[in-house]
Amino acid sequence: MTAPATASVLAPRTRARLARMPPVLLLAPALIAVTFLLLPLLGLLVRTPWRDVGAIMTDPAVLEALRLSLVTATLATGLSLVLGVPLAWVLARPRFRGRALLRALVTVPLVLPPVVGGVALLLVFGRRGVVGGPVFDATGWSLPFTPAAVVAAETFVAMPFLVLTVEAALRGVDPRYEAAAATLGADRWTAFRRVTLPLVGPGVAAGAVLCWARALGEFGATITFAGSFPGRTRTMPLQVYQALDTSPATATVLSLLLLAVSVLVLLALRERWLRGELRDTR
Amino acid sequence: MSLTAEVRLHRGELSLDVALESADGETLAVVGPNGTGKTSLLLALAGLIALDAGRVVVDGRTWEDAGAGIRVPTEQRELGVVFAEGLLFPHLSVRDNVAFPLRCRGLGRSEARRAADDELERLGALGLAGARPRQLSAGQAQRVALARALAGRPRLLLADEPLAAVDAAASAPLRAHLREQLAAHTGTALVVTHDPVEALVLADRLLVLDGGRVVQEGSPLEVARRPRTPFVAGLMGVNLIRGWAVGRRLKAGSGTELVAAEAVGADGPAYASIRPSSVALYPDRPFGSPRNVWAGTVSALDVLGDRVRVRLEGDVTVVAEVTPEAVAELVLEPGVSVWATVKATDVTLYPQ
Repeated sequence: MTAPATASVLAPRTRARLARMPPVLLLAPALIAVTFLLLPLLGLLVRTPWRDVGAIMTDPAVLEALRLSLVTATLATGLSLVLGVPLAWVLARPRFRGRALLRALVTVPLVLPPVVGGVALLLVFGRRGVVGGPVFDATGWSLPFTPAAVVAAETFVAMPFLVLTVEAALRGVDPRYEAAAATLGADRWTAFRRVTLPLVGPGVAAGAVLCWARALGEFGATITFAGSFPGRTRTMPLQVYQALDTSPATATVLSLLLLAVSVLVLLALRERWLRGELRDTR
Repeated sequence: MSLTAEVRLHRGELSLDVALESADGETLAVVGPNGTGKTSLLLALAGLIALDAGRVVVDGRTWEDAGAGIRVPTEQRELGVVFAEGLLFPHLSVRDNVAFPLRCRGLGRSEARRAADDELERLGALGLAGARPRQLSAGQAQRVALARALAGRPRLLLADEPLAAVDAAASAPLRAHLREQLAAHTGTALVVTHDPVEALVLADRLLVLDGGRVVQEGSPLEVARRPRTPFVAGLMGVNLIRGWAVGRRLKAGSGTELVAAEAVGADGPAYASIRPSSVALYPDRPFGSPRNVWAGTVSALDVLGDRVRVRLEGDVTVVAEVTPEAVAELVLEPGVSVWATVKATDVTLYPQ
């Protein structure tokens, strides 16, 4: 075979392989990024005082924080489901003016520094707050610095994750299924409950897991709005922060625990997404 | 059980203005080109699109009256709809899909499932009861969709291209099944289709829609024999020639005269319809009994099963249907000149 005069000296296969290889200008920063992201996590593993893990994990203060975290994150997720799924439906289905604006407002907590969220919550629900003031005057009860405030702060920060996930899932459901349900005699509520909701079930589950993970790790809004009272509002992330001064070993072990939870959540979602993809291609 | 409807609505480019009436147990087929408003008509009857004007009355109940501001929501209309894509609920078994309308009508779960099984058995699909929709073939899915639509004993059954998603091999038995069920259905049924065979087999009456208007209405036989628009003629596969009739003769636009066996009632603008199989082709001018003889040039050939459709441009533009052997023997190909003949008895003449 005689090659044309302009052909490269490289064999075609070599040329093809080179074309598939990412350019070094992209590859090098990508490698640095991976290292930067993974190194701290490795450091956490390396510095974990494995011999003390048992003692730290049975420390009453730690157990208290763990219990509080699990309970409040779960409650916040429940609250987000009850309020957030209907909100996702409103954003996905009916057409109305200002829907885009509403979606933007709802997602503000996603990008808002959590501490700002905490301050805002205080301004509204505090003893002298817009809503909290009259409530305190009438009943003598106020929300901030209670376990309920932890739930409120976590819900504020985590619910948008659920709303956006469920909304995307709702958009993926052919609205003609709802039309078909209507022709079969289902009113809109029945159609939602018996057709739409089961079809977005995987999306709701993924959204709930994301929401729960975000609530579990919530720090800024919680410490601002609920404070850090042991046994009442001191959740795991707050306990980690607290321990950093007094007992770095405890901070490390608790961080490792939170890291493990994150990895589990990621695996759960990955499984979810994989199955979703498989179903779509069927 | 009856249906009276005047449907007037605008949707984008489409402006739909259709009046239809149907008696007891009748099956109407709505045929027409794409984008002509067939599906919009069906969705309007189902209440999924609001009317701009007009009304829908079924069995004496007013479902919608735009003038009076009455609009019964879809879920209260006692409908059944078979969609082109079936739209079976993917998360429910076949049994629960069929039980769905029954549960919406207040039946308990086990009661609705029993009734669904009965319905599936009646339609010969009980074997599928436990399957999920994604496990079904397109033909099976439409069978189940029909069972689901009929399960609630609807007053009005609507079907939108029910066989469109089904492959050719499965569509013949499904069509027969559909005809049986439509015959057994006591309420009115309306089938939207672009398939002439489907329309001819299923319908008691045909409604031809074009540009949002009814352009022809009648029994399938009547419409097939005497099409009134090129679209219907094309749909029914017959040649339509427009001209001026005097007695048994039709003067076509080109000046050529066609002779029919029977005269049209009164002289004036008229149509002649000729079946493609009635057109014979000859390489030279033939001499014989056929009264209609004219010259033409082959412009296109289409193979249709074991027949070839030959399009002939000439004094009268027609399609002739011949065998592949004839194509080979006459060396028919675009550009070849031939003579066409049609017996007067094969020309149907009717006023415009």
